[in-house]
Amino acid sequence: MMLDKVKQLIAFYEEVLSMPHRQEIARELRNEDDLFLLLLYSEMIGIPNPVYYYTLELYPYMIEKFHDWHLRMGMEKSPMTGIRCC
Amino acid sequence: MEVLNKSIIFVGGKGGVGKSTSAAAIAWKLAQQGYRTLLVSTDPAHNVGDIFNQNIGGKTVEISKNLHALEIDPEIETDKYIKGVKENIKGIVHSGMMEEVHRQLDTAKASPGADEAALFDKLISIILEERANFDKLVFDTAPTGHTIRLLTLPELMGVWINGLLEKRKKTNENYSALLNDGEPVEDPIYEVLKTRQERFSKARDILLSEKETGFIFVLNPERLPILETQKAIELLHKYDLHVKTLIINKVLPEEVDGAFFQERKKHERKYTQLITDTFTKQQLIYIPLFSQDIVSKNHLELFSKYF
Repeated sequence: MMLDKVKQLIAFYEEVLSMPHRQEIARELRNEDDLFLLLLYSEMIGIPNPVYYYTLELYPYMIEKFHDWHLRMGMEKSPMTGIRCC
Repeated sequence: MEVLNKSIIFVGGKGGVGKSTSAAAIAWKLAQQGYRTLLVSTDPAHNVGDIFNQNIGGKTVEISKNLHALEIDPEIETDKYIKGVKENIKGIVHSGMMEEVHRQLDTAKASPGADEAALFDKLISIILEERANFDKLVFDTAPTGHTIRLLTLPELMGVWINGLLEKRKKTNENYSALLNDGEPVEDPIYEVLKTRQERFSKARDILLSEKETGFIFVLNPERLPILETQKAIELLHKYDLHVKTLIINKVLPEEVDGAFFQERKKHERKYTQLITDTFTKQQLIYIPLFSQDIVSKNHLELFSKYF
């Protein structure tokens, strides 16, 4: 009984410890994702991308992320000529 | 012509040397021999329809027994592609944003390179999917530069897509290891890219396969076409595409009348000599200059006797 309590406590303690790490990892991964988006949609900021046309088919899966991305990239308004998502 | 044994034949060359005529005559001959043949034009200045005296356009049409033709229209292809993307977006984006997204996609349609990419995409579809319906595919291509670019795209695109895939894969692996307890993550983006990459690499394998694909260049016995052909052969060779057949078109007949033509023939002999000296590795097919344009199936019949 007591042992279970201790186990719980230890688990909780580990959870607390790993929280900031998880956040840090998530941020790292988000950065990787950001770079990926930049590779895909570099055309929008004037860097040519030979496969731009083929990235359009990825667009449906990107749309959600897209808005947050361009804000993080420091672009107030969407770099896309069309999208006024803000 | 040995190249007629291949199931895919590309006909290239400088503008005006007789590419479309040669391609049409080759397709005609193959169809006559009983092969189900598709003649495809990738040249924006489509001439195939003019040769057969009928409208062809962006859909496959039957020209005669065993012979079908298609003139690729990048605009139709881009429209189809963008429509597909829009279909996929349905249900993902809330309706307020829909209009903006559509507008964005329509601008992409006009982006530089979209036409080329659409044409290339269609070419790959034909190579991968139409082979089931036809024994022979004959491609009448645009002037040299475009053709070389088109044929080297699989390489370029492949490198890019591979790079994107690698990157994506790494991120996914990290994500699943660090934040997903080792459970693999579902990633539609990766899947879509993967499908793309597989298509490109399959098409590339077919283009590079000497058993399946042959390349023909058409030229005239004149200085510029000779030089251009030489450069094109060298460049394609770098990409492992080997041109093994040359059609030398519009050769003056041996017996020419009048001082003017005799003079002309004298110069031409220099060039035919240069052709034999320059292109030692290629099979050379000579086709005479006819007294009239090639505008009918009978003419094509005559033309194709020289292959």
